[in-house]
Amino acid sequence: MPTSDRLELPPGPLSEPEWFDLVQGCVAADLVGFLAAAAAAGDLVLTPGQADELAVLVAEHAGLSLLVERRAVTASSVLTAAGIDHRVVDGPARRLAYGDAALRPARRAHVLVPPARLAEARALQGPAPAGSGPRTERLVLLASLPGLAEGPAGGGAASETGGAAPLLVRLGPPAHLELAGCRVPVLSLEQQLVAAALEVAGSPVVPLARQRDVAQLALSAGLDAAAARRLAEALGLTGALAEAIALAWGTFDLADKTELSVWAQRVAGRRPHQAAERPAPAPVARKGFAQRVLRRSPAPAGVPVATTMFTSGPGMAVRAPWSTRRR
Amino acid sequence: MTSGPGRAPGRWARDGDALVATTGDGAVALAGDARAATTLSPLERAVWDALAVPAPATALAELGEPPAVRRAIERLLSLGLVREVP
Repeated sequence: MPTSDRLELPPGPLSEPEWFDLVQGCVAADLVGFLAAAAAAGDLVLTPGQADELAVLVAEHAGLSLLVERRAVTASSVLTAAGIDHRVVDGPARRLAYGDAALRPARRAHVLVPPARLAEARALQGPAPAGSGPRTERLVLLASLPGLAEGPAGGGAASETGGAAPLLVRLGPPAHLELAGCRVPVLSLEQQLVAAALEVAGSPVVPLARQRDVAQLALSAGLDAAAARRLAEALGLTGALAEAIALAWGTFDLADKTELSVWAQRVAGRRPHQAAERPAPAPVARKGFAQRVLRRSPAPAGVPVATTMFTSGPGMAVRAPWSTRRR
Repeated sequence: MTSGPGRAPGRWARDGDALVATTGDGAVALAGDARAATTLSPLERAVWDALAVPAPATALAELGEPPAVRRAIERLLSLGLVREVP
């Protein structure tokens, strides 16, 4: 597909009202990192003032994300010392998909623990530091994946053997990240994809950043697509995985055909662009939100994606071509 | 910097407790004992990247002029992001 059909890059810097609206929208939608990546790549022309403003914003968001990561690492160390099995669900776990780029700053991290030890795990985290607000705002200990109903797949009670909870067992072994001198157990790419898909499929209005997570995970070079499908099936989440992938492919108009995207299209029983015809995210900025603002961002490692961008208009209605190349 | 005239140049290594996220041309870093993150310049980020394997400052010459590289190391050291190793 000709690039010219998809790229509507503004030839020069946005006007100040457009820039203001774009920044407000990106802040609200957790897209500041992607905006900065587009600017760094030269795909979005900025005035010096806009560049300065963006640099400050990126530093703020990335810095906050590192603090969240620090809390997750600390929590993981405490849980490990207490012998509590756990997995970091998101936050720093997303480094498996995004690397160390500050594309997708985390506002909070979820940590999955066995239901039978949830209270103990929470007690180990201690009280929130004075003046920092509730610790749970940045670090959330869970007994089940967000959006997963309680029950055998949703966590349920501890196993009869008194070992790990059924969900942790059914998820399979974790991946490990070396962070801040600690070996942190995190959900593997496949597990993160299923978890992210669950959140997307269970939400009537899906933020762009979460859809991007699904796409990023699904296109990660290290992903075992068959394993992701098997895991989704084992958890009864085949439909959720297919729907989320089809939605992401439709939203970003991904040209890349992968085993997962073809499968998702078939299972979802509709074309990806039809899957994308869900309610658009709620308006996040004031009226007049910058129109046709495009951005590119680095493609997942090892994936020959040529172009990543989005077009946003009022209410962030999105038609977002990502790739202009077919594999 | 603790290395000085008359001393064999030490090697520099990343502090293992630091967290770093790369931005467009630089990085944001959180040292192990820091309560706030700080931004790194492109050169500081390049030095950080290069120190994935401990190395003497002289081995970082290709990253920039020696005085600039030395200043970058000094700043990383002051932030607790790198340390000198034997």
